[in-house]
Amino acid sequence: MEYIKRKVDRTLHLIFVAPSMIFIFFLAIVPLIYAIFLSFRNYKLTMPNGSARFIGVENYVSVIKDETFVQSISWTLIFSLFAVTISVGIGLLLAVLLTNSEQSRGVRLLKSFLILPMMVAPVVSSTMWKILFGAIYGPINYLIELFNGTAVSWTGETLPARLAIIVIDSWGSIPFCMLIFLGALTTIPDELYESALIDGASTFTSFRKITLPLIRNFISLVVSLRLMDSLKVFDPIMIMTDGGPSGTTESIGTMMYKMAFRYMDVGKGSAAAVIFFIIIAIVSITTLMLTRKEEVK
Amino acid sequence: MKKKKFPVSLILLVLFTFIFLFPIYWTITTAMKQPGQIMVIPPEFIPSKISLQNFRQVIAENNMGQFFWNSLSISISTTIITLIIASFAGYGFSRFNFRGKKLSLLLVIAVRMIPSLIYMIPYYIIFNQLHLLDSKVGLTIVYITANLPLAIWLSASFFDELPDEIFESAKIDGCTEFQIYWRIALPLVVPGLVVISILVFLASYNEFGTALVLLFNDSTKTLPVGISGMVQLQKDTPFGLLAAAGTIAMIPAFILALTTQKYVQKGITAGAVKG
Repeated sequence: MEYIKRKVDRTLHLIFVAPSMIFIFFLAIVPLIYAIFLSFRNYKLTMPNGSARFIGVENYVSVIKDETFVQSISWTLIFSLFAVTISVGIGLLLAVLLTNSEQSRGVRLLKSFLILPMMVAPVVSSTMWKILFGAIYGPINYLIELFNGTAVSWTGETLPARLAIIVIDSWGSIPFCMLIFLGALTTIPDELYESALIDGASTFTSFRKITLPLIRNFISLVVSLRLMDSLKVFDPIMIMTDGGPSGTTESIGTMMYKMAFRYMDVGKGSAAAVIFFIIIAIVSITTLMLTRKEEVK
Repeated sequence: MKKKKFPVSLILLVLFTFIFLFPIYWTITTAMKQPGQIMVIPPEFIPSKISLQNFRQVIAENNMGQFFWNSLSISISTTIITLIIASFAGYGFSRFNFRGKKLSLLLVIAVRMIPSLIYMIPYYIIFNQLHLLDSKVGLTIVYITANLPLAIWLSASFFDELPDEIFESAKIDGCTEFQIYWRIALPLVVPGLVVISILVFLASYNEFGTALVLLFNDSTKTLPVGISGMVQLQKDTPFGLLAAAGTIAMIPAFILALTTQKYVQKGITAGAVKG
């Protein structure tokens, strides 16, 4: 009896930890390895079962030779650059404005309104913006024409379509940045601003000299989280443009999806997925190393 | 109150809120317009007539009610099961020292970094063989796995905050480990569990990519998949119906946002900073 009890004690942690590890092993590790395995086979959804065979790096070659895919990499990177800059910039601005305002009921209400876009599913927000960006009856084109511009085809031309996708993604992610920065700003003691005010510093100077340096770690945290998130962009593109016009708004994610499920080429799609994974890993490790360095300084 | 306050920031804030909320306002009002009110120039910024016709039609003809129910049932079961498994694991990681603990924790973080889009293809092939395609159970399993890493990480950090004395005195009183977990530790981290639930619910309620690949029947589709189908099927998209579908889809998230705002804020910050 005593022996059994001791044995139970020694393996007790397993009972707690095992269920989660089973999930992670079978549904995260195994499929990942399986994706790598598939990327070396000529697997097509249209082929009869079991006829796929090993073809070496052929899928990788055909992915890299795919001009639309190469273009999708550069557009995904450009998109991330703009979407991250805009959402982090406006998020920070809103957080500063909220912190500087008197903490009244009205301001708290404004804050809960400002959080709403984050709660909306990306598919739904993209649908909403698709209505707003409507070519003929959309209010955005109406406003443009009101100020003597010409109506823009938001899905028919490359530049407007790309702009629209950046706007949709930024709209949904500004609240996230704002919330983190709101938390960050509360870590700065009021006295610092007061003494700066006595020294005659302007609002902008105290923002640049006090706020920014003190929340630098938070900024790099938000930037790296947002960067990883925006590299995965998928929903707004599928809803707003479906990759068009002529593939210029395809992201790495949508290309991978289309290779496997529209053109039924699972092998090629898996190779794209592996390349996607490597790009994400490189970017995350680089940002991680850059932010670590800053912390050491 | 000593902070510099100037009305400029308040004016800017109101202006931003206005711009920010305009898409939501426009969607809700478009949903209440008749086709004749939608296809007009200049657009009706304030609807001249309000009707619920679009909502009726989208529920009757586009299966929106079914999609809504699918989304809710999948998200709620994902949240409950994730909460149970993750609080178990979080407790295990926080309370015990064992061989392979560091490695397991590292695995949890590493899996969190892998974008879920990468799993689309392997899940499709594997689930096809297991007959889990086009099944709500299959998608729920996927969502549980996708949410576990963050949930484990957060719940471990919440258990870490509890003082050791609580566990020791419970042990002296003769509680078994499971009793300590269930009767003593768990009730103390309830606020943390609420935070985790909100994050998990929102993530699974809003997810699109994996659901798009794994579900294809109207009887299993979630709201995002259903709405994307409406967008793609009809080239000449009926804006009123789309807006009504979007409005229906926003309801649960908005109820959460407005009632549990404190927890939402806490969750987002904890998820980012602690992860």
